[in-house]
Amino acid sequence: MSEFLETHKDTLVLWIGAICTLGFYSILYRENRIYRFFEHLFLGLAMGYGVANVWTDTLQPKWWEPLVHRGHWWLIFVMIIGLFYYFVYSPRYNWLARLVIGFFLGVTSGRAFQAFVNDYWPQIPTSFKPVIPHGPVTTPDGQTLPALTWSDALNNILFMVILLCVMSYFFFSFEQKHPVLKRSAQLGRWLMMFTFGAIFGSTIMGRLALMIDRMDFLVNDFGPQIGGPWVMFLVLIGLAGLVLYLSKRAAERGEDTGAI
Amino acid sequence: MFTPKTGAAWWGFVIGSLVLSAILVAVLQAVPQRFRRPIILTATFIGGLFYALEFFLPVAPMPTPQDPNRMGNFLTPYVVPFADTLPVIAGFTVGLGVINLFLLHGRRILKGATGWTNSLVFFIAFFLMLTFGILDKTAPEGSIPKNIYYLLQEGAYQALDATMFSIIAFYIVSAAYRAFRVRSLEATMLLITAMVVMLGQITVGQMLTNWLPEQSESFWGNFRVEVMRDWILTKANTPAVRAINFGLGVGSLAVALRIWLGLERGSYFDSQR
Repeated sequence: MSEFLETHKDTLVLWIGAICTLGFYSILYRENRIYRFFEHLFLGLAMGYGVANVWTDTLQPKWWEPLVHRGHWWLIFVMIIGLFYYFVYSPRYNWLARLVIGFFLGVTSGRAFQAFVNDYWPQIPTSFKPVIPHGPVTTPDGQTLPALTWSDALNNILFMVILLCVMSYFFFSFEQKHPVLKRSAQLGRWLMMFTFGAIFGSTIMGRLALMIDRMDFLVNDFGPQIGGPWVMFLVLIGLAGLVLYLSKRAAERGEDTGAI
Repeated sequence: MFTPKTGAAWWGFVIGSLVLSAILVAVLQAVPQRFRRPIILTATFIGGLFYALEFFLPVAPMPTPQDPNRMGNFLTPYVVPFADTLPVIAGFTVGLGVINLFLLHGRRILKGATGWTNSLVFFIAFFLMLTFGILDKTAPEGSIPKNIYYLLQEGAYQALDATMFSIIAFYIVSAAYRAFRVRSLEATMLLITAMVVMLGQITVGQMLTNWLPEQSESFWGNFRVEVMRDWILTKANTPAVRAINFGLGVGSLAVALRIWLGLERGSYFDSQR
């Protein structure tokens, strides 16, 4: 068994990976038993992976080892605090879970002050940018600042205009009646649409890259197992055609396949 | 008192701590209903007080061998140990999710409900991954646990994980079709920006404007799709994202303050049994 696994593990990984990938993609046609099977398999594996990682990366080195092997007996209290969360399952002791949840909500709130200062304060001075073009400048302490071209200056002005307009959109503490504030908030709203468009476009491309990666795996990594990349490519084309045909037939019959 | 113990002393302290905790639970449970909400609010306040005091109290030089320039107050030395303890406590809560899934799938198997075989697959996959995931850390190279974990992790888990997220590509394209229908000025702006970003990222898109001169050669080079994409992402997007983040930061600070001071209303703080 051990020798067989050691010799064939790479081939087995390819076959398992290909079966799992194709099984999951069967959802593109409709909800089906194969997809459900792989969905539950994924759920079990992901949960097992997560729990194993929590034990091996956190609990074992930071709690079990010091508690049991180094004699840090007081770490037992850490477990007891953690176990307080499980009172959520008891209607009688439920409020004790809220006690510990409240404590950690407080901890998170307390950290928010530091997080705000560390994350946002450094961004405030860097938002003030030079807007007048100039040549290279030598400061009194001998440092040479690079030249600021017209296009850089224009970009800096644009940077500050966008920043102020979008920020003005977030003034919710009072009604935006003043015409200047009203206009800048409106402009901020439009500018945010550009941002959301850019984020949306990047997200689509990221997801498509993942899909291309799976296709690359099936064609170039797994393909040689069944006669070559071209064979797998033709198989995929055939499967895509089959899905389209079955979807069309289902649509003609007025069935809702739940397909994307 | 808080020194490492061994042998019988260790057992004594551990059992003593457990007994003490059981007494604490009993005492807390005996607290009348009307005092429970104030106790929770006090615990919330105390939880936030440590980091707030550590942040607001005046600091003085507090050098350590690792950080000779460290500034801090009397609470600063406890920041790292406290922060190290939090993930351990959070680690114990992983069982909450496991229990929920066990209850759901266990019930389905016991009742023989539709799809009970899938629930069985969930249990088998969970225990296989958990067992070999833990054994993998200590098993020698080439051993059965190591190889089975390799098959489960590299073969099944990674393939399923990548495929699951790649399926979102189909949903997101479907969502894009709905979002990109030109119905308003905002939708048009979103459409134009997303199209430029997407076209600028792929070779076919870049081919559309590759007849224009290079950016360094001519002003018209600025209208090449990849140049526009770079400009949108680096120049136009950055200040807008920064402004949104400022809004988020101020908002989250306000929410944190409300939670810390117990001003937040809602089911969590209001209904106590």
